[in-house]
Amino acid sequence: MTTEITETVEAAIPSDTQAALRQFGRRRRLRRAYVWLWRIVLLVAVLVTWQLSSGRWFPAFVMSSPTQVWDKLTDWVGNGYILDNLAVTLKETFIGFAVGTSVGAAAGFLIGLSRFASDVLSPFINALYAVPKIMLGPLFVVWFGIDLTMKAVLSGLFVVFIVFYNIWTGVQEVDKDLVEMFRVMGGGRWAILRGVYVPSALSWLFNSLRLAFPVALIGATVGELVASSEGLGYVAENAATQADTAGVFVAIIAVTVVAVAMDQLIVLVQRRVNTRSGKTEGGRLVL
Amino acid sequence: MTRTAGWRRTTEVDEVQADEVQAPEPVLDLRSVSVRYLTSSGLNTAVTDVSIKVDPGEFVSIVGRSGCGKSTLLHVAAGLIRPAAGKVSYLGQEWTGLHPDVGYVTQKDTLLPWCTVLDNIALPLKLHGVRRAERRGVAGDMAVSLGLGEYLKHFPSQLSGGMRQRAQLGRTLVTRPKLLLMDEPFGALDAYLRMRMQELLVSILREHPVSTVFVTHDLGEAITLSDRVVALSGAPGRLALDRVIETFAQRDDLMAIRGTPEFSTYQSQLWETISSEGGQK
Repeated sequence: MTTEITETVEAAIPSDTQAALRQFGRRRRLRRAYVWLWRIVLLVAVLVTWQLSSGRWFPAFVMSSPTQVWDKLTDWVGNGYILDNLAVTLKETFIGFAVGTSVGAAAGFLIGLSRFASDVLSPFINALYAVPKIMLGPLFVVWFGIDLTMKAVLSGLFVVFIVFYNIWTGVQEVDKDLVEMFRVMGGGRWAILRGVYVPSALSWLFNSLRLAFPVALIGATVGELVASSEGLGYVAENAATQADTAGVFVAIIAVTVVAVAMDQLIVLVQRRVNTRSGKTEGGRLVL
Repeated sequence: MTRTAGWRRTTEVDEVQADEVQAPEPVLDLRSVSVRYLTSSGLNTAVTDVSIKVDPGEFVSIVGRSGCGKSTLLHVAAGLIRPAAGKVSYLGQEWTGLHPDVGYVTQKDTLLPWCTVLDNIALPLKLHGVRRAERRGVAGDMAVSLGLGEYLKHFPSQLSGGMRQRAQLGRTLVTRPKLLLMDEPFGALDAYLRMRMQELLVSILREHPVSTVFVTHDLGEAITLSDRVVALSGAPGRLALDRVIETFAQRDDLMAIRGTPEFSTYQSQLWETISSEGGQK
């Protein structure tokens, strides 16, 4: 239907206005090209400076050059070392992300529904949130060992509070006029829950997921740094103990690529959902 | 009900009611309603001793200055607030709480942003357990009668303010309520859209007749749309007058009504009452 409307609108635009619109489109594309050009120039400048400074201003073992990092990357990709460890980190991250999101969303939703429960539990939740999670790593080693469980739990712990606070706020700040409207229309408690609270909480959930995934990744890699024999955190730590800064950079690049890719995936899903629920820019109609 | 031109001061209400023994049962009957709120500064009275009757098919507007309790009174009529004193009856039956035959439209947009126009209009039917195919059919017909037939699959964010207000009206009327309560429904619209919506409301109510209580700040809007205008004044709000508007029964051209001498007379009388009573000037 949107395409039909667009076509109808385009057909109604006079030719001189269409020419102006085409010129506006060209300018916008040109500006976008300039932005990308400057991004590439900046990246090349940083890489060249880095390449020139390595071994000249800094010893190579302190700061490996980009070419050394590239060599290490191709070497580790070739022999499967980085991909095997990436798979381990991803597994820990996804389990922690899924469990942390589920627990945080369920707790945030249920506690948010009850003002009494919120009042009773909020000081405890705030205190738990204030605990530096990294400090729990050694404790988790004692409780869960150094295998996947420890890293997944640590990762989930990083996630759970972000999702919890978002859903909690979402439920508490639900539009009371919508609730009142449901009541006037004869909606019962269950209908209000399903019709107003759940959809409202879902929009907050999506926003929290963008924050939660990188944090889940941090939790998993921190767990690997604390105690592990596999995963990207282990790769970075192992390379650092051998003064192999190229290896550390390769691990950092792998984590960054995963975080950016996942962020883009969440944005894509969010955009799809928003499009389906009408939260799109443009296409606004007038009476 | 015998309607007489001129002012009906609150002191005259009892006399008028005595003449109404044979009248049909009012759709809404608020009797000596008072509303009190408990706030941090103590017990505040929002409305005191207000009585209003709305007959079948009648359009009654409530006007008054901000804080005089117009919306509070509408909340009482909707069953959202229980009055501290007084009684509320629908079609002769005393009632507390929400009534299934009452529809309520607010100024604020309360369409569900995640539902299409069709699903929003069909929502009350869904809540009443009407089957999907049937409710979509009924809601679709209602949308068409409101000029929203081409926008059934659009979401509220894709509509203009006027279209959203039409969808809200459709959602309220789709269950065929016996009483329609409207709380400044066009307050957020510009002058042009407001006039268009007033015309649409007149034609919709001609097509789907329903007793209506309409709260507004706009005296002109109240005069052009209503069979009766009730004015509240003061804080707490009291019934200052109950005025029958008998001149504009047809309401074919709302703009033309505003140009008549009768309109000016009604407006100046209402203005005088609202500005002279209640202490604030």
